[in-house]
Amino acid sequence: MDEPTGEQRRALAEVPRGTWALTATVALLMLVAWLALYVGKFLAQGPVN
Amino acid sequence: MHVHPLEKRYVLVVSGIVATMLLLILGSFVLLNIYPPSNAGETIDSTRLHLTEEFAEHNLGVQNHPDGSVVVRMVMGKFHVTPDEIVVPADTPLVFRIATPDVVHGLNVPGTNINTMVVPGYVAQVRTQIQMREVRRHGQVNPDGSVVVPLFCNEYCGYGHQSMWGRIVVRPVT
Repeated sequence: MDEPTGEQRRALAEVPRGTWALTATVALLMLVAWLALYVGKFLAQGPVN
Repeated sequence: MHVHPLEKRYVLVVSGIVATMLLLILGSFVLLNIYPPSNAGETIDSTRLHLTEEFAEHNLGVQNHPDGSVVVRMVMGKFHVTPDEIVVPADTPLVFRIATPDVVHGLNVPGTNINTMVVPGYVAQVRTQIQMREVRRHGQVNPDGSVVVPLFCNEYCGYGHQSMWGRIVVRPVT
């Protein structure tokens, strides 16, 4: 296998910002959806025990 | 061990989400006294249900107690709900106590958090307050302001399962 070029080495060393942004967005959307169901639906329908 | 910076961030995000969810659930439990109702604890002889004091036919339905609490007793059997129509006040502490003489049933009321299994040999109990604002979205609003919401069995219990349903009339508190 050929040695990685300088550009390839730089790419491997850097944090992939696009992936991070995508992961954070999906995680945030999931949290918001869960909060909407838990607070807006479950808690709004009254206490239960 | 080398952990990639992106993985570290990912672990932080996931930990934050899990911690938020757990804190909210724990906070609801401690501060608002909200937790899943248990139906495993209070036992009853299902074969003699109609002979017990509590679940005898004349004792079923809605009972208003002097302290302001309201107790609803119901029997769910193949394939009926007794009584099949009850009238309860909105935004008032209610205690639902349900038993079955035969197989496993489930009580579900849309627009509320009433959703419990009814297991033979046990008394299922749910404490709740029906919120008028929420049931209005799921039920039929009458001219007098009351709302009719369905109640039904949500555990498949046999050939006539689909006919196991009734009505709850929720009256606004004046």
